[in-house]
Amino acid sequence: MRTYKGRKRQTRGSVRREYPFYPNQLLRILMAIMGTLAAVAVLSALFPLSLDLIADPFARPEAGTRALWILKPVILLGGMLKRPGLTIVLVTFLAALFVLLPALDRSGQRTLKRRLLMATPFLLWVLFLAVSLLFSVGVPG
Amino acid sequence: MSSRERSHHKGSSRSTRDLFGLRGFLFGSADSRASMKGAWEATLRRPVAHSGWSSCFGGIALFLFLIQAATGILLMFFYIPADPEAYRSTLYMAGQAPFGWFFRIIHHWAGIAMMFAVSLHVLRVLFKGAYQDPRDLNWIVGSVLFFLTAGFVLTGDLLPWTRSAYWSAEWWTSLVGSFPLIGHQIMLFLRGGENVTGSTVTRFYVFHVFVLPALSTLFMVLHFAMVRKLGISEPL
Ligand code: HEM
Repeated sequence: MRTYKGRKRQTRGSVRREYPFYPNQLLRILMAIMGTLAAVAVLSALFPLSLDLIADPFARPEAGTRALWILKPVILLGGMLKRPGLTIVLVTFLAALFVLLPALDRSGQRTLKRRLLMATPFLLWVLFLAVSLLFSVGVPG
Repeated sequence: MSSRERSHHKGSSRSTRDLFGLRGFLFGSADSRASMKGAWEATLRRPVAHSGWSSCFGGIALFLFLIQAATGILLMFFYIPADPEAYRSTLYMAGQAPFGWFFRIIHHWAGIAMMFAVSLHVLRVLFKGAYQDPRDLNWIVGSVLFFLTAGFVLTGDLLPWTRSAYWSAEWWTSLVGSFPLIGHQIMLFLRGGENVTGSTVTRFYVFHVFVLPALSTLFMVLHFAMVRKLGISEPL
C-alpha cells in the first residue's frame, strides 16, 4: 500500500497540507485503535473486576462503599457549596455554558491565548476525572 | 476460439470469481445494482487536512462505542434487570457464564476508555478552536453526545445492583431531585418511585440498552454527516 506525501494548497493566505483519507488518515486511525485495544486489554488484565455486596435499600451507607468516579467532581462541588439545590443549578449552568460555547465565543479568532483559555477549564476537569478514576480502581464496584 | 469468444469467456469467468470476492462483490455485482464504486472512491480519496494524531480521538470514541454495543449485547443474554436478580445474574456472568467475565471486564474498561476518548476529543476541538462557525452546530450535536456518554456510565453503574452503585445512584438522583420546580418530577421519573429500588434498575436498564444507544446513534449520524460536509478544521 502506498501512502501519499500529500499536496500543498493555498487557503486564505496560509499553506495547507492535504492527504487522501485512504490510506493516510485511515492507517493512522487504525494504529490509534490498535493502541486503544492494547490499553483496554492491559487495564482489564491488571485490574480485574470484583463485585461489592448486594444493594440493600434499608441499610445505611457504610464505610467501604465507593462513589462512582464520574460523580467525584460534583460531589466535591456539593461539599463546598453545602446546598444541593445550588449545586445542581450550578452544574446545569456549567453544562449549558458547555453546549452554548460557540454562541459565547463568536470572535472568529483562533489565537493561542484564546484557545488556551477555552481548553484549560476542560483540561482541569479531565485531569480531575482521571485522578478520581485512579483512586477508585481496585475498590469493589 | 475467436478473440471475441475468448474475451467473452474471460469476462464470464471474472464475473463468477467476482461473486465470491469482496472486491468483486463491491465493485462488480453490488456495484451494478447500487453503483457504490463512485461513492466509495469519493469517500476514501477525499482529501483531509493534515491534522495529526489528536484527530484520531473521534474515531477511537466511535470504535469504543461499537465495542460497547457488541459486548453489551452479549451481556444482555445473561442479565436480568430486577431486584435481586440483577445482582445474581451479574454473579453468574462473572463466575459461570462462558466468557462472561471476559465480556464484562472489556465492557467495563472500554466504557471508561470511551468517556476519556470523548473528553480528549473535546479537548482537541477546544484547543483547535474548531467549535467556532461553521462547526458551531456540530459542537452542539457533539455536546449532546458527551452527555449521552456520561449517561451510559451513570446508568450502567447501577445495573449490577451492588451496595456502592446503590448509594451513588441514590446520591445523584436526589441531587437531580433538588433542582428547583421540576427536579422532583425528574427524580420520580428516573427512579420509578420515591426511592431507588428494583424499578430503578429496570428503568436504568431501558435507558442503558435502548434509549441512550438509539439517541447516540442518531446524533453520531448527524455528527459524521456534518464532519463529512465541512471537513476537519484546518491546522493552525
Ligand atoms: C460519541 C462521541 C463522539 C464521537 C464518536 C465523535 C466522532 C468524531 C469524529 C470521527 C470526528 C472527525 C475527526 C476528529 O476530529 O476526531 C469528529 C469531529 C468533531 N467533533 Fe466529534 N465525536 C464525539 C463527540 C463529540 C463531542 C462531545 C464534541 C463537542 C462537544 C464534538 C465535536 C466535534 C467537532 C466540533 C468536530 C469537528 C472538528 C474539526 O473539524 O476539527 N464531538 N467527531
